[in-house]
Amino acid sequence: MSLLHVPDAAGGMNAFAVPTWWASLEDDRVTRDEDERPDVTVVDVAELPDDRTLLVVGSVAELLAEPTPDALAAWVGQVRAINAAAAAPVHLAVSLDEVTCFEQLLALAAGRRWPPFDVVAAARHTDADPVPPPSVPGGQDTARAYADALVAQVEVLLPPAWQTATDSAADATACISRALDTDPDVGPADARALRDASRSALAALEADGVTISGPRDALLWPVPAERGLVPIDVAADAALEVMLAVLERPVDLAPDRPVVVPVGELPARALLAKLGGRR
Amino acid sequence: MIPPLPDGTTLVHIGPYKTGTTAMQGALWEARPALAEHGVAYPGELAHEMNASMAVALGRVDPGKDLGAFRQRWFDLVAQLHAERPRIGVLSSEVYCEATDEGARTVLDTLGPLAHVVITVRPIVRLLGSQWQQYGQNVPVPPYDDWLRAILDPAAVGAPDGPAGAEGVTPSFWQRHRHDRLVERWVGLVGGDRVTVVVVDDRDHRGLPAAFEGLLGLPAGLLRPPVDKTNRSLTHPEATLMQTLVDRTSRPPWSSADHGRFVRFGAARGLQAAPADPAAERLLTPGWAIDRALEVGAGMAARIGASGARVVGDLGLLSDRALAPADGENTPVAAIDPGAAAALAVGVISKLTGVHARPEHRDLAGPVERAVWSRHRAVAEEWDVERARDGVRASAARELGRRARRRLGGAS
Repeated sequence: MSLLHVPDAAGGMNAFAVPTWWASLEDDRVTRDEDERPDVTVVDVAELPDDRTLLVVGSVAELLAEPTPDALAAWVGQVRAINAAAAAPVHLAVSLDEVTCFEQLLALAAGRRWPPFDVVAAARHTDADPVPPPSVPGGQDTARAYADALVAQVEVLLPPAWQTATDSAADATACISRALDTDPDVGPADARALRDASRSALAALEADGVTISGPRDALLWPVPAERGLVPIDVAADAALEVMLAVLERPVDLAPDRPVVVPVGELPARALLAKLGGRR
Repeated sequence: MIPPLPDGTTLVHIGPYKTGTTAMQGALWEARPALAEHGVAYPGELAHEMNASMAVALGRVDPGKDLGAFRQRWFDLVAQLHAERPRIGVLSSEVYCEATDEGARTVLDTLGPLAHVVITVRPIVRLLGSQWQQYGQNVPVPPYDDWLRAILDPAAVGAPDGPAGAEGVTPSFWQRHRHDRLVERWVGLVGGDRVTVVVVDDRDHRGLPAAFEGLLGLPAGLLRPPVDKTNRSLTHPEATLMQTLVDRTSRPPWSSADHGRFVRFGAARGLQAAPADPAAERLLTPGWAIDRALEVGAGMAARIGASGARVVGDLGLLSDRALAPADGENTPVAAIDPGAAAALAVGVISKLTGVHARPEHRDLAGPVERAVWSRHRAVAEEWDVERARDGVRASAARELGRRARRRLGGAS
C-alpha cells in the first residue's frame, strides 16, 4: 500500500483538489490529517509502487501570473518548495482536461494518460480504415499544413495498429497546435526565450527528483510560427510526444490473459438452456 | 575489361560505409533469380544482413537484437553457400570494414581460401557530409564545421585507431575511412592477389555495377541498383532537426532499444522518405575542409596504389577537385517546412504501427515498444474473442435449429 499526497488547490495546480470534490468521492481511502498537514489530502493507493505527492497542472499559461522569466522562476520555486517539504517526491502530471473522477486521479498519479486506451473501440478498426485528419483550431495555418502533411504520409503497417496511428497523428498535431501561438502575449524573441527557459526549468525540476508525465510540452511557453515554418525544437517536441503518449497509455494485459470466450454470457446459450429444460 | 574471379570464389564486399554498398546490395538482392542462372548466389533474407554481419565481425548487434541468434544466422548463410556450391558466392556488408581481428579471422577462416575481398572506395571529400549526417541520425554530434575541424585535424587523420580530435568525436570515422589502411590490413590478411579495390566515380552510375558484373562474370547491365528514395541526403534544416531529436533520445530516460528503433530507423527514415523541400539549403562544406580532404585523398591513393591489391578504376579520383561537394558555410537554421516536420513524426508513427501483436513482446524491446505492443496485442486478443464468440453464436444457432427440427419431428 502506498500513499498519494495531494496538496490542496493553489497557484493553478491541483485545481480539482477542493473539499467538496473530495467529499463527493465518498471513498474510505481518502483521509486528511488536519493537525499534521492541513493542506494535503492523503489517499491509500494499492496501485502505486511508492509514495508520491501529486501536482496536476494544465498549460504553462495557466500557471504563470504573467509571461515573464520571473513568473516562471516563481512557479518553479513553488514546485521546488512543495517537493522539499512534501512527505514524498513530487510527481507533476500534465493534464489538459479537468480531473473529474477518482480513476482519472489514480491514472495521473501513476504517470498514465487519461482516458485509458479503449481496446473495444480500437478493435472496431483495422489497417483498411483511413487515419482521420486531426482537428486543428481555426487560424492555425502552419499546424493545419503539418496535420495535412502528416495524414498524407502516415501508414498503418499492421491490422491492430489503426488506433495507434490515429492517436499518434492526433497527439503530434495537438503538440504542434499547442506550441504555435497565433495570439501571442509577448513578442517572438521573448516567446522563444521563455520557451527555452521553461524547457530548462523542467530539466532542473527533473534533476531535483520531480517526475513529469502527460503532454509536458504544454509546460513550454508557445512561440509563433516563423513565416509558415515550424520551429525546429517544436517539431522535435511533436515527434517525442508521439512516443511519450504511447508510453503513457499502454494496456495492462492480464499476466496469463487467456483468450476466454464468455460462453455463459451469450444469449444463445441461455436460449439453448431454456429449450433443453422444456424438453 | 575486368577478368572474372575464379569459380568457387566467395566475394566478400566489405564496404566501407558510404561507398555505394546499399546500392550494390539492392542490385544483388533484386537480381537473385538472374544471378542464380549465371551460377552466382547472394544468400540471405534481406538485401543487407547487417546484424548477422555485425554479430560475427564486431561481436555485437543493434540494441534490442539477439547477438547469439544473429551470429548463428551468419553461419547459416555461409553453410547455405557451401551447400549450394555456386560458381561464385557473394556476401556484402560495410560492417566488415570495422571487423575486429577476431571477427576478420572468423570471416576468412569460415569462408576458406577462395574468399576474395572487394573494397569500394570514394573520395573522402565526398564522404564528409553524408557521414556526418549518418552519425547525426544515431548519436549526438557537433555542428558540421566543428566536426570537420575535429575529423580533419592532422593528429586525427594520422591516428585512425584513436579518438578523432581532442574531443574524441566519432572515432569510427577514420577506422572506416582510412581506406588506404583498410586495404593494407586486408592485403595483410589474405594477400594482394585476393583483394580488389574498386574506385567509385559518382559521375558514372554504371561504373560500380559494371565492376561487380565483371568480377562475377555476369552479362553487362544485369545489376541495376534500385532507385532508393529512403537513403537520400538530408537538407541542412532536416539534419538540424534530426540532431535536435537525437540529442534528446540518445540518453536516459530513453532506452537505446527505443532510440534505435523509433528514432534512428524511424524518424530518420521518415525524413528521408519524404521529398526534400526544394527551397531548403543543402549541406555546404567549407573550402578549407575541401582542400584538406583532397590532400588526405591524395595520400591515400598513393598508399593504395602501393599496397599490392588489384585496383579497378582511377585512384586519381580520390584527390580530384572536380568531385568536391558544394563549397560554403550554412547559415544557422531555426525552423523547418511543416511537411518535413511532419515526416519526422511519420517516421516514428510508422515504426510504432509496425510493432507486431505477437503473444509476447520481444525480450529486448524498450519501454515504448512494450507499451505499443500491449495495445496491439490487446486489440488482437479482442478480435480473437469476437471471432470465437461469433463462432459460438453460429454453432448455437445451428444447435437451436437442430433441436427445433428434432422436436417438430417428434411432435408430428
